[in-house]
Amino acid sequence: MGKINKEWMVLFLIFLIVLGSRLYFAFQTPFFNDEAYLNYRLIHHISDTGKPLNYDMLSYNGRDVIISPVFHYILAFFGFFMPLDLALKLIPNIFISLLVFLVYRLSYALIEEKNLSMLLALLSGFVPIVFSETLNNISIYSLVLPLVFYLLYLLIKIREKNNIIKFVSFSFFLGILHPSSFVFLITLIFFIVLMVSESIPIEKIKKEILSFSLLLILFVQFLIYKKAFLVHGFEVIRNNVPVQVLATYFNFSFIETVLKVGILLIIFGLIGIAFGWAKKREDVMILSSLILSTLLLLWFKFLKDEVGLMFIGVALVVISGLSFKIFLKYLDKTKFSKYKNSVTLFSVLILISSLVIPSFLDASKNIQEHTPTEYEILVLNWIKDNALPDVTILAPLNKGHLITALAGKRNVIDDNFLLAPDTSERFKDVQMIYSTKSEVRALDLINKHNVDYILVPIESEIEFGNVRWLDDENCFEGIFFGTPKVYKVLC
Amino acid sequence: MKTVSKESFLGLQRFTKFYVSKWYLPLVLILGLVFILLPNTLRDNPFMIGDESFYHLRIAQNVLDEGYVNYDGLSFSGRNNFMELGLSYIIAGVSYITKLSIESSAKYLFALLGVISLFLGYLILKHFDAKEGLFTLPVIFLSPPFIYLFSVVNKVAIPISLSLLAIYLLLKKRYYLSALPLLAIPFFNYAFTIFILISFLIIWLYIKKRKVVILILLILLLGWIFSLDGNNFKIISDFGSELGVSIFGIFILLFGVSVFWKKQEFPHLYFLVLLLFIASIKIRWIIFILIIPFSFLVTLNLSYLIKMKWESGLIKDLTVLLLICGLLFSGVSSANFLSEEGPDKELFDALSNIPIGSVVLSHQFNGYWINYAGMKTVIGPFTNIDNYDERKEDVKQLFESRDLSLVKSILDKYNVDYILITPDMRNGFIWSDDEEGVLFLLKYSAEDFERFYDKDLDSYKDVEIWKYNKK
Repeated sequence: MGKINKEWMVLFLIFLIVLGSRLYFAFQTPFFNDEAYLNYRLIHHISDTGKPLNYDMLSYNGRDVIISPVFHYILAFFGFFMPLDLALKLIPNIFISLLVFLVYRLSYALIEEKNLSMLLALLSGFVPIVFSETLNNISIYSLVLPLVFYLLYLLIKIREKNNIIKFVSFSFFLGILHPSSFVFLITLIFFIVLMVSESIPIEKIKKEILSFSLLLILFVQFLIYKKAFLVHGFEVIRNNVPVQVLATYFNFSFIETVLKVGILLIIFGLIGIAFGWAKKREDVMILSSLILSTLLLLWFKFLKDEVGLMFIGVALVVISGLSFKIFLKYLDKTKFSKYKNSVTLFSVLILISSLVIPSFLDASKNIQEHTPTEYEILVLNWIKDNALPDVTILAPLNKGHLITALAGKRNVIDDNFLLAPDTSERFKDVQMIYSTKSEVRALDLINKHNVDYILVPIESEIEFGNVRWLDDENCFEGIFFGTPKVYKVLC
Repeated sequence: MKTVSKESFLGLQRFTKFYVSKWYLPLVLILGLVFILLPNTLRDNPFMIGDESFYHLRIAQNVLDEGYVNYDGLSFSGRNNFMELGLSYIIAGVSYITKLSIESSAKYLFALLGVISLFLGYLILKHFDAKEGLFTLPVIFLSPPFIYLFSVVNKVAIPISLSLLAIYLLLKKRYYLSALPLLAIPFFNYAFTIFILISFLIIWLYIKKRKVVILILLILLLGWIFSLDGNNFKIISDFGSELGVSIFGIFILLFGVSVFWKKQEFPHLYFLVLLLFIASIKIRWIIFILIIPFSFLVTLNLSYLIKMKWESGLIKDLTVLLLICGLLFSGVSSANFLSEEGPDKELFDALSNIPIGSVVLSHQFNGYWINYAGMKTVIGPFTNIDNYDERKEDVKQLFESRDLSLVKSILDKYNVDYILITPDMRNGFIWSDDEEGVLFLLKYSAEDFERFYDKDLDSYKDVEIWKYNKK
């Protein structure tokens, strides 16, 4: 009993270390990342009205919203016990830190080494891409990621007591939570394909569970996203992303991937996969299926790079446990065995620092570059208080949610693309307005989208240069001249 | 761990008892009728669903007004050939007897046809004593093609009902009587008649055990089908096709393929479904025929799923429940989707501003609706007309051109009075930019083109009508 307590105490300590590190960075700013403001607004809407937002009058000048509200209700619920903005910082970080416990159990199921599993649990808390992407974003992946890995664990241990019921319940929960449950669905299909191709028999109960999960996730997705499926057809899996944005998906740079996931994780992970495949281990097949399905979805541009790398990163942490175990066994057989403790300690330090340092650097950069500045907030608050209620503000894609959430005004485009009207055309038009030298062309597009104010953030000026036609005082009245600049359209 | 779900087996037995009880048939017919009426009930638009349906309604109205029809003065600005006239005469006849409007008569006629078809299906299944296929009728009326077939006016519904009647009479060995419905089919649909003839030929060859000849015939048929223009890959209703099969039905069928493959049961039925599935990619209406063997196989596989041994009874029950809910979901969402199909009320509001008999140019897919509103068209979906290719090329050239003299010459050639532009035409069907092709001329050549109708003058989100000022 004491041993169990000690084990869980160490794990809890790891959880606290991971959570503490995250909160240290998250609370360096009172604001959230630009992209978090969609969820911020949806959660605040639920908190204020008790109902999910089905029609958004501000986004895209008015459009249908089709997002599962489960995550938003969960976070809004915590708003009863603490200030909502505090809950939005704290709760997603707690969710993602829970990954520590799941990775521990999953790793233990794989390698049956407690200490090594503890190390892997610690490492999972510092995968750079996961650390930065779920830090200050109110990201739904902070809940999806632990859920997916818990389901994989349940699948491996399906014969244990109550695991069938748990698997059914959590599959349903994942299905209603987010469309990324499709990643899990493709993983299951890949698992079947891998097992059949390797001539490994699948247990009958697993076959039943797999068929059921496939149907369940598909059914739930059809139920929630019925309208999107009917409107976009099979293209719904591309999420109505503008073609220009889609072109930026799957633009892998080797260095960037290594930095985001960690070079040692990639090396040890791949060795672990090779070992698992050679031994025809079913548990490794399950985890490899997740990696392969994610790679496939990335390849076909169905997933954002960051999202795909998060799944791959955590899966590699778990599988790399096998390589570490082999490495330690091998060490026993060499002349270094008498220095085993020193070598192990050195390796652990290298391993931890190879993940922790990039994670912290990334987190710091993320907070500085992707969070609105005090001045930006001041500008948006001015617009909120001084512009008429139904004005439309032109802003680049990544600032769209700031306009609706903080200024409370209509935008032309934002990155909630599903069911949004003419996303590619709007993206092209917005890019054209910021980049064109022709005032006539710009005014034509400004009229087309009924724009009343133009926000020029520093990112647009860096990308396209100064927007010269805004100097025409007959047509545009400058209101703010810092970063961002704001102009009122007069003609 | 091994549990044979006793409850499910008992459930199946209970359903079998119910199947033979007197309540099964009335319930199936009532529910079938509910699903047929659902799209038009949910519709918040007084107009019927579909495009070709408006052709049949218009011709039926002509028949009712004049007692016969031998010239269509509106389509292609006047032509004297028609689609098969049987349907229009029947609708006109029903309207004459019931004194209801043409639209209401068509609606009730099709609902009645749907119920009769279900009844005939029941009689046929009963003849085979097909307890295995007891769930077939509910699966059929939940299928999107069935809902479409009997809620949208089309020329396939009557031939299908007649074919079912003929099959039933043949099974009852009333051979001479069965010839009557078969002989009536050509009045309603020539293509369907050919299909029936080919089917009979194949059945006869099968009875005569000429398998090689059947194979050659099928290869030739498939070759011919694939030489036809156009593909329809939208054959799954859950992905936005108003005429497609349920994805959950496909899953059940795929499960069946894996099971029955080993046992070699019903290979002909699977082969038939495969053939019809392939053919429906090219010939859309074949999907109406496909759903019959498709639904039968779905039912067989579902009952097999219920009867087979599962390791987890819970998972088995949940899986079967999910599949049934999936089929139900496909049917309901398809009915809902169908209720939102075109034409929009706004289109007819816009057309009501144009004087009757004017010549309106638009994309050919708007042709039936323009004619229904009482205007002539330059081109429509009907292709069996002498100078069709020339008209098509002229219209294409006109839409793509910014050359004012060329555009005017084509408009004068067809004596066009108005140009109708729908949002679909601007959003990719013809143009994708606001000043592309002839849109540039409409916008800037105010002397020649006058914006005659547009609810929202600041944007191009609604139906627009431009008047051509002839000199």
